[in-house]
Amino acid sequence: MSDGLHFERFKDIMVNTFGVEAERVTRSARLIEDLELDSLDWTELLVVLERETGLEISENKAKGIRTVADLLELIDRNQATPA
Amino acid sequence: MSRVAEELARSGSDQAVPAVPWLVSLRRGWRAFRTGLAFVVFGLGAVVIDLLILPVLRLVSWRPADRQRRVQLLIHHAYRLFALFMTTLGLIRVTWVGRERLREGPILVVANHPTLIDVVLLVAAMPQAVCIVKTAAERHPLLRRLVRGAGYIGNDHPEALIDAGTESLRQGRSLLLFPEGTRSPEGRLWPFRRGAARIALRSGTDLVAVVITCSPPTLMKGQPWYDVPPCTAHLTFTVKEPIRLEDHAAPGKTEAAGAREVTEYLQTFFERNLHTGR
Repeated sequence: MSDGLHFERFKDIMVNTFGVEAERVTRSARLIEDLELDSLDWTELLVVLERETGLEISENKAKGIRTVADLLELIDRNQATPA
Repeated sequence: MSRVAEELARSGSDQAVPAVPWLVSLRRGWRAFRTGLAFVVFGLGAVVIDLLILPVLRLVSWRPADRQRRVQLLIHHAYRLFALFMTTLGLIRVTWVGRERLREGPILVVANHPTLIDVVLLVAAMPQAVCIVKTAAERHPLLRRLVRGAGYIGNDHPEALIDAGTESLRQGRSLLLFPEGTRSPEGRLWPFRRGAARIALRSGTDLVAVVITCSPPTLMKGQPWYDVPPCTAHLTFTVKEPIRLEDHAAPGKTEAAGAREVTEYLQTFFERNLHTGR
């Protein structure tokens, strides 16, 4: 499992940085439709995640991501196979 | 009840319902003609300003900030004239509540957007205002030089929009934006975007909400200009007391979290005042 980012830490970020209600943050929650991240939130989230994990997540890499689980999986995958 | 009579009853109009069908059609046709005329006059006005007045303003205004302020004032006066023209044609009737609140700056004005005309009337009420405009307006052959000359801000790059909007307020210039990002659907509101709240938080400026109604609806998004209402459209503009940010964004919050909170408040505020939903 990833050392990069655990679900609970991700949830903390969503609640404290983006003001999302804790109960809405689930693994299956969709980032745009359910957590209502707008384009600025999304850009900020990538910066925060980069700071947290030390991984560079480009907008290009993040293109296909829809849910929280997708995002955590991408971080896991990148952690496992560093460029 | 005929469709016309229903629309009149819904609009609360005191104009008599014409009983004769051909008279109804004639009245609609006459209204459509006047609406078309208003569009033509608007276009001609834009051409005259573009070709004759803007070049002179460019010559006499060396500093970009002075030039933008003058172009904004020019648009304000042109829109005042146009509003008077539309009122004289009997196309619109306008009621203001709290209009004087728009004359003090710098303020960040947010409004719902039920019709194409509301922006004209808002700018006509604000001697100086930087508007947030769609990319289409920035590229429109009749409007692009005016938009650029006035220093209006395009809405296609959210981060740039927020930086430019914040900077405008810091320099003492009022800002006008529609948090829905487009015209409202009939009787409802689109979900508000968070740009206005971010600009307010970043610049520390309170928000001035303008609640607009238009009855019967006219020139809504997707509605052709010739699809005219059966009677004069009555627009009401209610300028509310400034919404104090400190009452709606808890201190110590990040900008993203604060913007979410303020935007949710704004959306509920407009829905409550318009008795509508999303």
